[in-house]
Amino acid sequence: MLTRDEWILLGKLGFIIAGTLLLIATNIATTLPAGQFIYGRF
Amino acid sequence: MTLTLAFWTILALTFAVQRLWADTPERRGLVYGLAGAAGIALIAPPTVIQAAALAASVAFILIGTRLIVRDRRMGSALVGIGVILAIWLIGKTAQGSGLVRVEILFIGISYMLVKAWSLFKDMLDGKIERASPGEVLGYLLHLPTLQLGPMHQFAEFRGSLEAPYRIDGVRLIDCLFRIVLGLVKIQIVANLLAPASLSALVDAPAIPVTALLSGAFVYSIVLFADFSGYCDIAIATSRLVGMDVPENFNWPYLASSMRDFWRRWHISFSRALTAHVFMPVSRVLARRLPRSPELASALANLITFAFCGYWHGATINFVLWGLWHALGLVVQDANARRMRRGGLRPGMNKSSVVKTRDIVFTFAFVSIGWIFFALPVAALGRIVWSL
Repeated sequence: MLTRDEWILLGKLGFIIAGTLLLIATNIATTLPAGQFIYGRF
Repeated sequence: MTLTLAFWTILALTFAVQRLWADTPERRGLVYGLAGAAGIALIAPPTVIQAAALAASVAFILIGTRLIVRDRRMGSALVGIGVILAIWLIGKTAQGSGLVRVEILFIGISYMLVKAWSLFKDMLDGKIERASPGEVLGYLLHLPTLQLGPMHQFAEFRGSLEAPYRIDGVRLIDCLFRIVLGLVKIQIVANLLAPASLSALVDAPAIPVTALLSGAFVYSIVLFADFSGYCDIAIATSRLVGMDVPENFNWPYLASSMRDFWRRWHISFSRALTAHVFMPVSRVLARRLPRSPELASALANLITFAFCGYWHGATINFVLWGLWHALGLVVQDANARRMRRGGLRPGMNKSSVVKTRDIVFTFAFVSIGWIFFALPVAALGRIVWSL
């Protein structure tokens, strides 16, 4: 039986894989602004 | 800044050099400083004027940290902080007024100013005895947090130079998780919702109140996803090269009051704002207005948050945003005093219904405040005109 910490780790691994696939699907390389941020004008 | 090939290359080189050469805090700080300088040059190349402004700012901060060791007085701190403060004030005013076309503000200057002042104040107060040039360079120029924080206090930065953040299997997964989480927040959540937020109303000829309010609530999510996503990436990438970074958010939209909100939102900035603006201003006003502590407290909030707004952007709308938050705090403080006079302790023994009501009300107040933050004065004027 997995401990709580191991479940959390497994969840994070799952998110890394799912999130990466989602990001690839939405094509981050062409749409992500580099350093263009909307929080204030610094 | 964090999403380019140059950034990841510099990060990999930083990691390698830290492992192979940097065996003292001084050297580790120097490596972070040089990595930051390389990052600025390659990722956000400054103009000659911006490069000169950056070099002069850093040079005088270094000189100031030497002077203050010999003579622990405000004058030494002012020598160190004077150049960057002057550049910041001139650059911000020019930015806000549009009168001057030369851009002297270099990347991350607003954050560097706060960090530098925080360092000098800690040295004046005797909390920091001395700071070596390598440590100071790293503190000012650490690449992942250079542009938008989270901001270290110097003691935190030095703590991580002395005992670097060690990466094991679990921590590696945690860092990768936060990088992907940050990218998902920015790329998926913020990008998807941005067209339905206030950002889409900036140039709208007429803005109905319903569109304004729905845009404000959506903008709350967009801004949080974007900024906290950036911080997730900054924190994780920084830890990968051995530098721990303080958290910048703690579920801000679950805040049950405006004071609670500022304990949860942009934490590294709000703690500096409290320590270096609100507290000194409060002390001065309390001495000047000994018979009106309520007025002194209200004025301290107004001055602090007017500055907070100006720091975020030197245009009227940002100052109005700051004053909106000050208004919330003043009203909240007055309400707390009224409850105390009635024999009640504010915040104690709240039922879950009351807590939920307070959270919803705080979220609504903060969301409406973003209207001033997101829309320029011209758009705000069109809104007022159409009411």
